[in-house]
Amino acid sequence: MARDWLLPGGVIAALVLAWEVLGRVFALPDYIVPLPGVIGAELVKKGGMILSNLWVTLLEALGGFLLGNLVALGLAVTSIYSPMVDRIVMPFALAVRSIPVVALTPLLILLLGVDWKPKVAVAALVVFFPTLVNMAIGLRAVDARAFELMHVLNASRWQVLCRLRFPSSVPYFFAALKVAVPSAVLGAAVAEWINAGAGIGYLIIIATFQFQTPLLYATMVVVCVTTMILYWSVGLLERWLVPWREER
Amino acid sequence: MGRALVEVDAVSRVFTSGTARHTALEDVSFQVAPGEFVALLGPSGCGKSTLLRLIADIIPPTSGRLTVAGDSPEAARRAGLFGIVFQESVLFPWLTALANVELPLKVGRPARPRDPRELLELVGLREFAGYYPQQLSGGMRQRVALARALVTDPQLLLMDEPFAALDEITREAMGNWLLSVWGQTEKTVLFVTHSVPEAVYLADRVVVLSPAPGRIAAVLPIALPRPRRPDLKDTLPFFEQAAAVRRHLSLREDVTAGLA
Repeated sequence: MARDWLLPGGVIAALVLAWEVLGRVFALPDYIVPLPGVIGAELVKKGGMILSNLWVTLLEALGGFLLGNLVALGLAVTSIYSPMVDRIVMPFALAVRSIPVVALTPLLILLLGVDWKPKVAVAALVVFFPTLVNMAIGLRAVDARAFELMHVLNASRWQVLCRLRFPSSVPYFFAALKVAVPSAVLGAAVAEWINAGAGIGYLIIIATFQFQTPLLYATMVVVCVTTMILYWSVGLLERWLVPWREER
Repeated sequence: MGRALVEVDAVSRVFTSGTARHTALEDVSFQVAPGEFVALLGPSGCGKSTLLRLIADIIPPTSGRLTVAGDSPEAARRAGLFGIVFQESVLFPWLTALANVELPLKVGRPARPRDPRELLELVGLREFAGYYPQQLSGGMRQRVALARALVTDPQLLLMDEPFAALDEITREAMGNWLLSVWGQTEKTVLFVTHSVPEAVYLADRVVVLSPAPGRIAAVLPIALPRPRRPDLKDTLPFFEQAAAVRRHLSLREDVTAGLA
């Protein structure tokens, strides 16, 4: 597993080195393209502040993530048992999801106020669609004969849902989570651009308008690494919860 | 014959899709006695799987009547009279072999539950109880599927081409092994197959179905000694029985048209 990181890690290191060298050679100003060394120093100096802002955003993302997934799951399950819900939900969800987040945020601020609520709402909306689509497919992706088997065994609808549909949909759920987790963080961060007192998105805006470019880059690095860690954690969770994954 | 366990009386089943009508079965009638091993034999599309599903109360007949143990298929299903094995094992991949066998005990409320471990022992897979289906071979999975079908102690075992997806050698072994399991119980077996030797080797009687629309071409008793031994397949009586059965299998016109 560690060897998988050797090649990309090497490439990244080479790129960073090239950046440092070229930056010195062409003497690029700090406020446009800071050198990796400068960014590193900034990370060390302002690390505490960046992390505390990251924490705010992560909390908002988590709230939105939980809310969005719960609603999506509820709707996916309902759409299985109610054809009318099925016909209404999908196009509606698609319409909502098609509105750009940046346009959605002011709307939500007007509706919900200027605190954490609109950020959680944005994160929820961003998470909601991939989970809904994947679960709608996953809950139905069952061999017809498995249904026949459950019928012959006198299973109730609830038993079919819990013992057959849900377990079948777990791989689809994780596929959705892998998209949802980074999206939630990004959604919350973007929502902070419009209005916030804290958070990683807020930090990005402040750094931009104050021409604190090293801080901006440092913040980007932190967001990037955080998202990668979250994505990787979902993968880990999946490997732990889905031990029956077929080996191909 | 005493009271039949399964009675199929002038049953027809038509599938409609838009304006297209497909008669899977037409005016099919036969009976199955308790403890019998009956093979349903025919080429693809002759309605044998449909017939099995009609008996199992998975689909209703378009006309005619089916009776299982003196009652409707639905009542029989609710009473847990059926055990079913499909061509694919249809094991749940997120459950171990043991958990798969236990499934019928957790779903519905079987009246006479058997010990899942005992059944895994019966099918020779005691050490594989904790394995997941993907870790087992096709033959092993079918054995787990059979153990699962037996765990509710059903009176009637319905098998839909259960060995068709296996290689020839495994298939023969499974056939022998099924007979030994059946010999130790008093179950009635309805075995769907498209293989003449398999039907003749396993069954007490063979119901031959002809396709499009599905009708009974013949019902032939198999006069071969029990217990069936593997070397029986190389004897003259076996060939004669198989030939008798084959005579009733009508070849499709599009296939015979080009032959001399």
